[in-house]
Amino acid sequence: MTEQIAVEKKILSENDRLAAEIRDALQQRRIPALNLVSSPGSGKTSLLEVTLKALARRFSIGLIAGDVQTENDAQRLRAAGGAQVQAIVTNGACHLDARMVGRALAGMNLERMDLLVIENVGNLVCPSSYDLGEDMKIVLISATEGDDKPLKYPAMFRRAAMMIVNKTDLLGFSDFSLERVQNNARSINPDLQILSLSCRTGSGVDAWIAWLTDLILQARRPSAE
Amino acid sequence: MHELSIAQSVIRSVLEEMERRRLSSVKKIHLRIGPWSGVMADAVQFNFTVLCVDTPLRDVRLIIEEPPPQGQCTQCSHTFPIQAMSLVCPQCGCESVRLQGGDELEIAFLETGE
Repeated sequence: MTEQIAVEKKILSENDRLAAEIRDALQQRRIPALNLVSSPGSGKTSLLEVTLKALARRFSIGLIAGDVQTENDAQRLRAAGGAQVQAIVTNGACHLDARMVGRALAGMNLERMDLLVIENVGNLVCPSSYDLGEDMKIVLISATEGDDKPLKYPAMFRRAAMMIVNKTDLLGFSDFSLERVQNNARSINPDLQILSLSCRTGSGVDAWIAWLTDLILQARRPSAE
Repeated sequence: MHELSIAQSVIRSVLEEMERRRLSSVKKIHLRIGPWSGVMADAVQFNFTVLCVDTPLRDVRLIIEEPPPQGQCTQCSHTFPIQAMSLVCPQCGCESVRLQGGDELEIAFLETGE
């Protein structure tokens, strides 16, 4: 006789449990947390460099930089100055998980942090499955990539709250269309916020900085309970 | 290739579940992996087989259901399964459709017995 035993459990429930602990710890301290994801080379580290330049004097920013090998990104961010930076070298793993982030956070001072940004491993597939305790995922895409990427990687674009199109200074030098990428992204995720900017020229960066500043100030305000 | 760690999580969870419910053996494990979960069902199947060799699960069959994602029209609320990447409501023709599901990554149930 066969018997069916209902389990109905998420496969990554252990990761989700650890992510919930991280989320609690951050929310108690009113620290908004972003999980920054993209393909390799879209400009995650560059975006964080211009972000530090604009905000590091005003706010205490915590950065966790994930890479498969090397601490190159973390070193760039340390050189940019003004932030607590932790590196996670995954040694081959294609994504960060909540356990790695929890370990990195243990070495950071959360009492002096206004914003946490986690720079994920460059990959639009695997990181979409792992909750890191962030408030939102931000997906970065650049004008040297295909504008059909939202259709090719729907899991990531569905889970993201914002898409940032980087390298807009290169628009016109490739077949990438800003309008097409926006339409493709919105067909996957109608609620997606979209910004476009160039880390290299600084064009459009103001709107990103204004959005982040607002996020930090909103988080500090006591919630109306 | 995070399917390896996904397969490891499945094995860990099922062994825990067996211990908790005092099951001596399991015949089949049913998973639900949506097409937009970012996880490839075939690769989970393969990794599971490789990892199970030295565990009490080595003779277990892994059955993976891949439920299609649903769309809900934001205008007329009609809900329909999404076959391709065409997001048009079949009832009213509206192109504003909210996606539901398709990202499942779950252990649904176990089967025991002969």
